[in-house]
Amino acid sequence: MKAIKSLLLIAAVAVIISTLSAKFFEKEQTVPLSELQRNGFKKYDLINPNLLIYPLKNIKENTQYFLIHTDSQKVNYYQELFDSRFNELVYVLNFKKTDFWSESMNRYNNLLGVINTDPLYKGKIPGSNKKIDEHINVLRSIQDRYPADTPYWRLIKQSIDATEGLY
Amino acid sequence: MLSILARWFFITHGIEGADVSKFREMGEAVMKGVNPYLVIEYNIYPPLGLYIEALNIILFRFLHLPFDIIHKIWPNVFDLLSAILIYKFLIKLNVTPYKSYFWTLLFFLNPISIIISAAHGQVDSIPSFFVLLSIYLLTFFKSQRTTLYAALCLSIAISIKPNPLMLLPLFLLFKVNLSQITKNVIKEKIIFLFVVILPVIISFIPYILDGGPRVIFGLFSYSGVYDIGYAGVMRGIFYQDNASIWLEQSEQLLQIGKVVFLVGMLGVLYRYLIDSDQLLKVCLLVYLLFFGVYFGLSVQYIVWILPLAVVLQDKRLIPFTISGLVTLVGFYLFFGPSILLGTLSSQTPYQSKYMIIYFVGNVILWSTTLWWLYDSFRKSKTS
Repeated sequence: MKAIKSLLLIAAVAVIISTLSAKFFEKEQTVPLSELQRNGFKKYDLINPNLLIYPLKNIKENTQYFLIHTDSQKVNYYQELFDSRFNELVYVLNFKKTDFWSESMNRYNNLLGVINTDPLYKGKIPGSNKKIDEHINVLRSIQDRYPADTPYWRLIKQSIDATEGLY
Repeated sequence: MLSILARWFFITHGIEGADVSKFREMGEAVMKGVNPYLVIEYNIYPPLGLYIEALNIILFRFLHLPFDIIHKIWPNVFDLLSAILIYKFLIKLNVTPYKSYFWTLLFFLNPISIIISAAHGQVDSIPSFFVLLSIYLLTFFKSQRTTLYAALCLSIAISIKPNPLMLLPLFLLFKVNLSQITKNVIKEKIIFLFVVILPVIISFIPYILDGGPRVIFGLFSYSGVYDIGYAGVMRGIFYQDNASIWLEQSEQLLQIGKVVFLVGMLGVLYRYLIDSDQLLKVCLLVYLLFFGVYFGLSVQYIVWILPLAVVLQDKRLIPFTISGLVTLVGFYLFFGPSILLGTLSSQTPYQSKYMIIYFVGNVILWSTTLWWLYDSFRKSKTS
């Protein structure tokens, strides 16, 4: 029993250290944060798709969804999810975590698909065209750093196109 | 029965991929009469290992059963033989039948053994059986003839997979009393060495004559794939950079690992010379040292520990098994879900969500290994 407790403690410490060490892997941002914020971006999420503990964030989100019952709670939940997926996408795009782009874009674009097709959320998330504009401007400011029609430029365009579908 | 059912389940729901398809390539190369050491890039198996695959090809053509099923039967049969041998070993050590049965089941039902032999289809349990048989013969029988049989068993083990070669110095020094080395003792040890090494060398001759230095270079340049251990821990940490699963520093770390292991071996041999009848314990110590310090650990190496730890009735096998199981599940789910899940699932590899299981598994496995190594070494000093 003591051995198992020690092993679990070691595992927890290792996960914490690995999460903190991920900071050292943050390269220079493609677009300075201040410029993104001028376009309406607020801040990065604490836990992003590149981290080992990211699945724990998904588990927490799924647990939260399991516990909500009313339609208004569901709308609020999806609003938070929308913001979170967008912040994660901006993080992996802006810090050039290119091997995580595809996963993050799929998550973001799929979520937009749910929001756009479910009558419960359509028109309510993100709640204003201004917010949709801000999202598109943030993504475009990153896209503009790549030559037009190049693969990375086209990938970001997919998420811009998906966001435009919210109008 | 439960173990046989579990193994049969994995075998019949497996697929021919990854290492099993490599084994098939080896067998087909032998059947075609080409030099497998020249045509197959990833081939470090000595000739006897290749001939087993050639036999599998013959059986595959004759019985019309899928190759992966035929191939996987052998390591599982040898797991069963190892279980029988472990039981006999324990009984001869005057362990009660009840306890012997318990420890035997701990081996045969061990999920690591089942996954590596039945799901992955690796053959490490075959040389492990012959190593254990060799130790059994040396431990309980004193005649010259059984000593030669023991040497032959070790030779067979090395002829299938080269890893038991790292235990050879221990076998040579078994029961050597430094203060009483006679001509007879030296002669016995030289004969033992010849019986172990000569068949292996002879089996290589046709391939070396055909392929020349390329064959030798290919064999000695192989350093392993860094699947588990502290390599797995590093892979998990660096994965957060940009989903990179290959480490830039791997070559340097492999070389450093070799040096550290060799230095550690010297320490082990020095201890062993003081108490040279503890062959089983020290073989386990060497394997633990290898797992603790070497960088290029393939996932299947983890089974080497099992039969030795079970015969020693070492309870530290339990946390090792738990952490090993987590590591295996994380490894297969991330790198090759089809190896573990076979026809049951069509999950794609390299999904980020499984990297945390792989990372945590390796952290606790490596920690357990280091603690076990330290504890074993410390206890061997005081005993």
